Amino acid sequence: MNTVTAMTTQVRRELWEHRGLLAYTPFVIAAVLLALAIGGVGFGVGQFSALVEGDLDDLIPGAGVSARELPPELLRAVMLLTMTMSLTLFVAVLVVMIFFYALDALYAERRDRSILFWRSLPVSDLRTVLCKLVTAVLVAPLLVVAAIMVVQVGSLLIAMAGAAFTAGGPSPGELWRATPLGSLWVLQVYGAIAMALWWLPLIAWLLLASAWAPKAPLVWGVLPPVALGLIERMTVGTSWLFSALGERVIGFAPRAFEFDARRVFGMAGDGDSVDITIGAGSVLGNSGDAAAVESGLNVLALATPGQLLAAPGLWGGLIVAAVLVAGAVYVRRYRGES
Amino acid sequence: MSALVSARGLRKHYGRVHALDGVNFDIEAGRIVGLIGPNGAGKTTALKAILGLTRCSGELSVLGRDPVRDRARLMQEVCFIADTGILPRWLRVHQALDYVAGVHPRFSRERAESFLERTEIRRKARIGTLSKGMITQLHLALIMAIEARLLVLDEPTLGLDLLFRRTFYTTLLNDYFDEERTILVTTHQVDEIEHILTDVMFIDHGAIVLDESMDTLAERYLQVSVNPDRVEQARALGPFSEQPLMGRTVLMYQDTPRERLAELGEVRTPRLADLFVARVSAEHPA
Repeated sequence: MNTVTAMTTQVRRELWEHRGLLAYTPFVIAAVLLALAIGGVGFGVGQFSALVEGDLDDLIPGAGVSARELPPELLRAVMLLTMTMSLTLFVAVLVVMIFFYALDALYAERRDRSILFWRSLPVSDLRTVLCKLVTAVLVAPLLVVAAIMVVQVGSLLIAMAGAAFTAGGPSPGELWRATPLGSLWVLQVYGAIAMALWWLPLIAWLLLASAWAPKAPLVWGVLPPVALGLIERMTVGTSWLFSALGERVIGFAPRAFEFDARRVFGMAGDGDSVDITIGAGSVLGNSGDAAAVESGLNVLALATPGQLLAAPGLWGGLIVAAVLVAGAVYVRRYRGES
Repeated sequence: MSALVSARGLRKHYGRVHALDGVNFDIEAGRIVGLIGPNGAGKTTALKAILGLTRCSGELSVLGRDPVRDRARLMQEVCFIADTGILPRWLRVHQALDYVAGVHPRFSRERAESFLERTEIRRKARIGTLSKGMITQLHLALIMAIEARLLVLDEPTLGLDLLFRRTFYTTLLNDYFDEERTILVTTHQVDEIEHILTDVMFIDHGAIVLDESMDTLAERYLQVSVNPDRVEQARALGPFSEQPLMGRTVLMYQDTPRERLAELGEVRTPRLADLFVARVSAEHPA
């Protein structure tokens, strides 16, 4: 219990130090997006639906219908796209946040000599590094997910307000029922954790660079892998390292998710996904209509945790991360000696 | 009585420079020990070793523990103040209290708050906006609220004005020190701490050149100021240092009976600073 209090305090400490980067950034971006959405809602929900109609046509062949008579499935698709529009941006923001946080985490305390103060308290180097790792791997992604939720709730409310003033379009209640917020949120938390786990060795490497760098941790974090990759390309002529690094950045996506429109939109049965789609129907079943549930958007069917957990790359990455974290602990312990 | 800190054959070198060259010492509980030495003498290395911040060869036990291996555990009972620079500037005062309260099982927040009540320090202030004196007061308030057995001070008053320096040590003596606690302090301001020490160690070129309690120091070391006609006589008694001073010569002796020196001139107990200068230059003649 004492350890839990201490570690919570340590994670709070990280948020005090990096308040701007970790706590403010995602919510400032959320506020900007919502401001834009308020501006954009002037076009009216109907017109907006008409705008994305073309995309829907590609997504679901033969679904060309006018915005005014959107069938429930298409309304769901429109709302899903609206809700997920900002996700790519937020993933990019998260990458930037984690990157700069991890590089600074074990460097700043040496630069300002406060490491002497932190180490004069009964906190082991292992626990310090683990708390910084948890901040990067868990706290930062969850803060970003929270900001995404703010954007989603905000833009749904804005859309509903817009719908209330738009004649002929879907009603606010229809919009609300067409938006699978609950399952989206489950999916986003899952996605954030999957991403962070997949990135763990990269984050651990940045922490090690941060603990090691005499100055300019950015250079120590970026240069060695880039230099090794270039050397590989020039001597052996292959790009194994670069593709491995790229895979480490985006490789979580194909493992943690199955981007199959048919599964999402429930157009065709898929025997393989039974284990994953269990329970999804209840989350989605807002309308209470059995047929609508079956043909409705099965957002959670996107998640393939089994496939992620079965990926050797996940476990290999965790082992590499453990070694790098041990290195960071060791370096923090002995770095200040000379 | 077993020693709180015990060092045997402590060695540490940076390249070819021996920061500690086979050092032995013991620090008993309930003492205030001054570790005094010129720059680069190994003071800071010795303190860092005691705090588990640096590895040394030889044997070192602090409160019965290996300071490097058990640092985190040891820091429950050992506190440390260096000069003002080590508190992070971005941290706010109330956050500093929250943090120490969160991670330190022996910290009393009420005690720290009551120390802070006596200062001008605002809880919401960032440490970076405080004066050096206030930062030291804050650090002292944090440390004095911890039930520690050993307090290590490394040049704690560096860069402080006279007023803060004076109150620093009075506060420490009045509100902190008791028979259960031990203080190890290094400083250049020898005069400032001379009257509060119970023990003194001189360190030079990585070696302990003097290790005495202040009581025996007064018995063993004497200085006599003699007129020029007595200098030869005085030299015959084997002083370890000799300094001309305003037409007279000041000589220092170790373990020479006071009566014999009294025949030559005015006998006094040397000031710590004078003894230090004499001892260190005697060990390493320029």
